[in-house]
Amino acid sequence: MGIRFVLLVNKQGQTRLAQYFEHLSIDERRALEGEIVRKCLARNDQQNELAILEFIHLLVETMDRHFGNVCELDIMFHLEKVHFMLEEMVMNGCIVETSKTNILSPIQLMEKAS
Amino acid sequence: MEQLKSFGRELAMGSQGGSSKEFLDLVKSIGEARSKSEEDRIILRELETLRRRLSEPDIPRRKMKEYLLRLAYAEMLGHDASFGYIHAVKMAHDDNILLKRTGYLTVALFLDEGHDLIILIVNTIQKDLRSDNYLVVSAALVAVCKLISEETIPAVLPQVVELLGHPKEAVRKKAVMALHRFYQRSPSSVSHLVSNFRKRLCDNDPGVMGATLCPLFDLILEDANSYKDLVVSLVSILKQIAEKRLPTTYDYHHMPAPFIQIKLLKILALLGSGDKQASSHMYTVLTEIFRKCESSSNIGNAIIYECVCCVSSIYPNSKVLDAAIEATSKFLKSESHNLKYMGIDALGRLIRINPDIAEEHQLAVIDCLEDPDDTLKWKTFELLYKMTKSTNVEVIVDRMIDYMINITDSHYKTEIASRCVELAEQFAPSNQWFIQTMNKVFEHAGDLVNPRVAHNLMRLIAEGFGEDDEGADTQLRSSAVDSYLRILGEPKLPSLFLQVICWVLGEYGTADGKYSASYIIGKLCDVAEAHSSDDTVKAYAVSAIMKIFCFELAAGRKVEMLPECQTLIDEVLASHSTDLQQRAYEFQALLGLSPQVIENVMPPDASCEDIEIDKSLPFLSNYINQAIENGARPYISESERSGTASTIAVASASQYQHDTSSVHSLKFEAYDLPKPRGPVPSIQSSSMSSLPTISSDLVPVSEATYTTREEQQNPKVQTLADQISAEIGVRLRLDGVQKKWGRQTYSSPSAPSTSSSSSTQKPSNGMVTSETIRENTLDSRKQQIPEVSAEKQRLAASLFGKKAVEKKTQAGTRRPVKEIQPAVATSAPEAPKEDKVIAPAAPPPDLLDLGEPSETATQTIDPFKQLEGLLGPGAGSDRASGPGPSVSAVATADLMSMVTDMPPIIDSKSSDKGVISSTVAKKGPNVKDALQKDATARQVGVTLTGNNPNLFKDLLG
Repeated sequence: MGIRFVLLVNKQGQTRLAQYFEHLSIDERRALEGEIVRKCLARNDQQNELAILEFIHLLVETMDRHFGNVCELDIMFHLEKVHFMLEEMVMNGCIVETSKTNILSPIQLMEKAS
Repeated sequence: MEQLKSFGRELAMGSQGGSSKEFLDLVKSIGEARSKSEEDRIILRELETLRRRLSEPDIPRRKMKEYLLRLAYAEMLGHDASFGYIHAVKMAHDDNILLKRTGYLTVALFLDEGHDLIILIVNTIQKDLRSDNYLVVSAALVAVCKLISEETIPAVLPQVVELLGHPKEAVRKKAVMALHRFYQRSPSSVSHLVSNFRKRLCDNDPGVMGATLCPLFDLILEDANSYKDLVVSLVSILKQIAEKRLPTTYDYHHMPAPFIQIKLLKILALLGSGDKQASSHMYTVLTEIFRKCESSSNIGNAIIYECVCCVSSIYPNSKVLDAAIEATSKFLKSESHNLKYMGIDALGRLIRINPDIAEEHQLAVIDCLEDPDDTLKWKTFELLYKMTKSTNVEVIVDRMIDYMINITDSHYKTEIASRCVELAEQFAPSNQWFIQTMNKVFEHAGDLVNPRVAHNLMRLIAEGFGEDDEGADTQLRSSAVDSYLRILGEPKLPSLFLQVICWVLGEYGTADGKYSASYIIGKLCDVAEAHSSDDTVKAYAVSAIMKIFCFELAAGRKVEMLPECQTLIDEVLASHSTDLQQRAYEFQALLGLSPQVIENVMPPDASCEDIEIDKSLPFLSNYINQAIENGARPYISESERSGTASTIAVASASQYQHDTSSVHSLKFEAYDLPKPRGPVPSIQSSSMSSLPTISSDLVPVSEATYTTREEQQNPKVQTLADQISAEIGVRLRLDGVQKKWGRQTYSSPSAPSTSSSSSTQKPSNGMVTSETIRENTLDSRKQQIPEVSAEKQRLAASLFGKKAVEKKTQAGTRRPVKEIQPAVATSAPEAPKEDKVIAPAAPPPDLLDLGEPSETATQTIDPFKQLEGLLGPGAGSDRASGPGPSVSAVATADLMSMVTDMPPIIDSKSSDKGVISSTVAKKGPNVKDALQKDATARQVGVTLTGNNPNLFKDLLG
């Protein structure tokens, strides 16, 4: 499994979004999020770190396109939408979709439908 | 202004999303929380509100969605919101797609696949998979990936397979991923469906194709051979992507579908690994990507890096390899830390193909080593660790130690300390260097290294170099003593290191006559005083002092009892640690003995002597036979004894021989009362039956220092020793002190002597001169720091180049140590590590032999040998002629007479005085009677189970 979790954290270190691709209990999650710096540094051997960095950037760009210059509050007020985007982009810990159009179209359709 | 702007946004968003004021307030207050505790208060309050709200009837669906998101916030911030889980499950039933997907999302956020509520959601998923609305189907497939466990796979599998042919590409893609999830959960559940992945690889939609690469990667990782036929198609896909044939929506920063390219390269790396033919298909496309990729963007570099990884994995081709090397050197020369980092990693991969590559980039690597960025530095150390060989081990380990000293993070410190130890053990050019290196590691990270390392170090100092050069060994030890006396001045030394220091000072502190006994003793007292709370260090110090006293007394010199030493001993005599007490009592008792005895008890530099063991103790047979003839009962092993004591007490020995079935039966009768002691034979039986009381008298032994030994201690023998001591020790027991350590003698060899006895010693190599040389080189390095480039050049040379070899040989000529052939590392590209491991690491072969470094030997000490040694050659027949009598306490007289009465059966052995081990000797003055007890005990024990199974048959019919 390439990606085990995605966390969005603001500059103060507060969690703003957390999606896990493997199950962890609340306690484990809390411990992990506390230790996050070390976990970030202990990347596994076959990971292309630069590509992961760019993937994070792609996520931000996708949110930008949806919210228009995304900020912390956008994510906080529309937590579920960011989750939906992430669900489109990553499944089973793998990057499955990188086209912004494809990522956002189901979300826009859902908004229209309701 | 900024605040106003965000406030405006809030209002706008609030009105858009139809969120309530409560939600707005919650988000705002979380956003404004200044501390974790404030945040916790907000969430706890929020959870109370939600609990109330959720218990209200008829909650509007929109409202419920908001509540669920508020619960998700609480869980995300680390609070339990399990009371609301059921509402999430319910929401997944909703007809509205947005609400349904929110329901699925929150269920996935709250529950794992094993949760009880999951079973409620499976039905919903089944229904939704059949929906006409592809958004509903997609939502259900996302939920399948997250919520379906191994057991529930069959419930949805047929529908998922059907959806692989769905007209909507988004659904096909998700169906592929659902199958992938099933494969991850339970490969066997989808083993018959694997061909679907091959089919989907040819899907018209690039998204579906890209997604299919994920399961294929996993499959190929497991079994590459079954997928070699895909190489051509995968290469052609990669080529088309690189030629920008894909829709531009997949472009990212002007790179065509970079994430798919990276995944393809990963798969090709697997398929081409060790396969010349498969690899040959890839060279063209790889070269093309190297040529085309923009190195101006991060993502372009990510692809280039992945290409390098692929090249280093597949069968090498010089043209592609050159391109990879060029790309790597671009990374290394880059200004960006990220790219340098990638470059170091790529270099680490390429040197596996050809170690020479590192040489070209030596200066860049050294730059990275000096970079302030810790991550980069760490990565560079990883690279150096991979390329360590005997020619550069000194430079690399020196660097690592410098780095180790300067970091505070204990995780990395431990990691790098253990790497230093590993490299030093593997490639050490000389033992002297090894000791120096270990000293540094201990000094700065002693509490973080494995205790085994300390034992190795002690053993190395004791053993020397395995050559016959006794002088060099002596030099090595004196220089170790010198360095330790110097280091003792440092404040705050780790406990483990102090133990090593104490042991070495005790063993060799006075060996070369450079330091007086009282000087060393004074230093040891200082150590004990400064670490009064550390019993282990104190124990080592006390034993070391004891050794020095013994060596001096044995040599016929007088030693003055320093006042601080007396204070220490007095204090330890009353210590709460029985181990410490025992040492002190042994020490006191030793001081009262004659020099000859002391020399036998504590021979100098004998820590490496081999100890031979005779487990059968045949020379006691006569004594035993006699006792049995007199009516004593034979030894019964512990397993047989437990629970059946009374049965056996009743049964005669001959009955017991036949009646083995009763051995494990339950005991129904009460224990016999202890009988009053009568003549010898009856004493034995009575002592047997009163065994429980006796052993409960014994003071429990603190096992702090020799825990490693305890498992090997034979409990059976100990208990028997008790019996015997009960039998012979009527007088022994009168004396409280003796009782305490009379038993102790069994396990008494202290930790220092444990290790001392461990090794077999052979001498060689010197140390004094080489140490000073070492210091000089270190000093000179420090001086040269200003002229950076020259320094770097030299460092580079010593790390990578042939210059290092020359430099080393020079050093080697000055150095009186056994020098390893400056190996031809540079010309031996393949696996330089392995061949070094075997050849040059040779000098201390025992360094590599890490299994149970010291304990085994100690543990196998035969009390009999000890006894024989003490009794001297003539002990069997004439005890007055040996050194024994002077030791033997009055208390042991009757056993002595018993022993002397019997003809020496294995006298050939007992005359072999040279075998006495120092450990044996260190058991203290009471050694003798303890040994006698042991001996008797063993004899009793052995007759039944050991080499003499027929004894009783012969005796008793």
